[in-house]
Amino acid sequence: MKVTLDLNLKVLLRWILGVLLIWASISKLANLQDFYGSLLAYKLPLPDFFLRGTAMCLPWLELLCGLMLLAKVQLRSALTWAIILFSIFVLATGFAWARGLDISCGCLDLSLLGLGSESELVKVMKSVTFAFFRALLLTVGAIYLLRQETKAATATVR
Amino acid sequence: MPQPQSQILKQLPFPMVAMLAGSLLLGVAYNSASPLGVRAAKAQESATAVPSATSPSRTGYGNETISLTMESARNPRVPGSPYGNQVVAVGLEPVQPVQPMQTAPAQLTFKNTFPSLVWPEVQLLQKSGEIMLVDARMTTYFQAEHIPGAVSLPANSSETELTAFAAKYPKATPLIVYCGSSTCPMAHNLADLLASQYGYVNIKLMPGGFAEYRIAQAQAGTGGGK
Repeated sequence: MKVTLDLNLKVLLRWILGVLLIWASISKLANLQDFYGSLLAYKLPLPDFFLRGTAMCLPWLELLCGLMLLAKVQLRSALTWAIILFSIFVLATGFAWARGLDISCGCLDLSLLGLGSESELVKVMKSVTFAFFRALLLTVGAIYLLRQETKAATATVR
Repeated sequence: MPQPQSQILKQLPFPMVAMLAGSLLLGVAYNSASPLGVRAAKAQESATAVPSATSPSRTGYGNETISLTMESARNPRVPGSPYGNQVVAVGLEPVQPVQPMQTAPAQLTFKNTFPSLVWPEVQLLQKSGEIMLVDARMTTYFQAEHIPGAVSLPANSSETELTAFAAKYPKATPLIVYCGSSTCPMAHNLADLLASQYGYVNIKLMPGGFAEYRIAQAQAGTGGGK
């Protein structure tokens, strides 16, 4: 039996998105109050119950999306949610960046990689500016994947 | 038969709603069950900052009976006890003590060592109004939720903030410092700072931190902090 590894751009992108979403969700689930604190630090003009609801449910939605992307289950739904989540993140980080808030993005726990919180690399990676561009890039990637998947689905039926 | 894009997009809502509903259910269940979860609504303030001797005693641990004799000029301090001559009688049923959390990781080194207290002890002292509970976490976390009656003094406070705190509270004030949980070193950092640079002589730690308080509240069924 011959097994071929079809490691094309789409597969790679899907895996990157999936792993990042799972990583982000685990970072948040490990310390939900920290995540809620991070949401408050963004000083978004949103009511408290909405922020609490977001802190409670968003990590699970990220986890589901990540797992579904990796398992290639309901791919278009997972990608659509991923685009929505990344877009919200682009807006939130853009809002914080525009107002010059010096806060941690509260997205990825870099200690999982064994990086100390004092290193310059970690400071840059945790900054809102970096988070903004990363979320923007991920949104573009997810949109590209969704378009490809929709095209492929249309072609398959044809 | 060709399937147009619009038809494919029409198939999206159901799985997407199912994912959202699943996340909502998981989020609510997990956060309700976890003592460190985020609560759906802010709990009401259940204690005052410095309770008076006449304020009604609130028992959070079953049917315990707590009798406190307040320190006063006529009722002198018990030698060796900085908190006066408290008499604590615990009632009919055995009270399930809240287990103290593990101490901070061993690799951390601190200048000073401080006595450690668990939440039930802190609660009694707080009710007597003789201690100041200091929250060493970041301000945003304090604003999100904190132990009622605590004051916020983040471990990374500026010198101005620390000086203002020192000006407000005398050096002999019994302070109990806490942070997030047993894995967070900020309480010890702050205690070190207050003892070595600001001359506070009566500092204790609550190593279990806010997590221990939350667990105690969950056991007592009284909800979260402020």
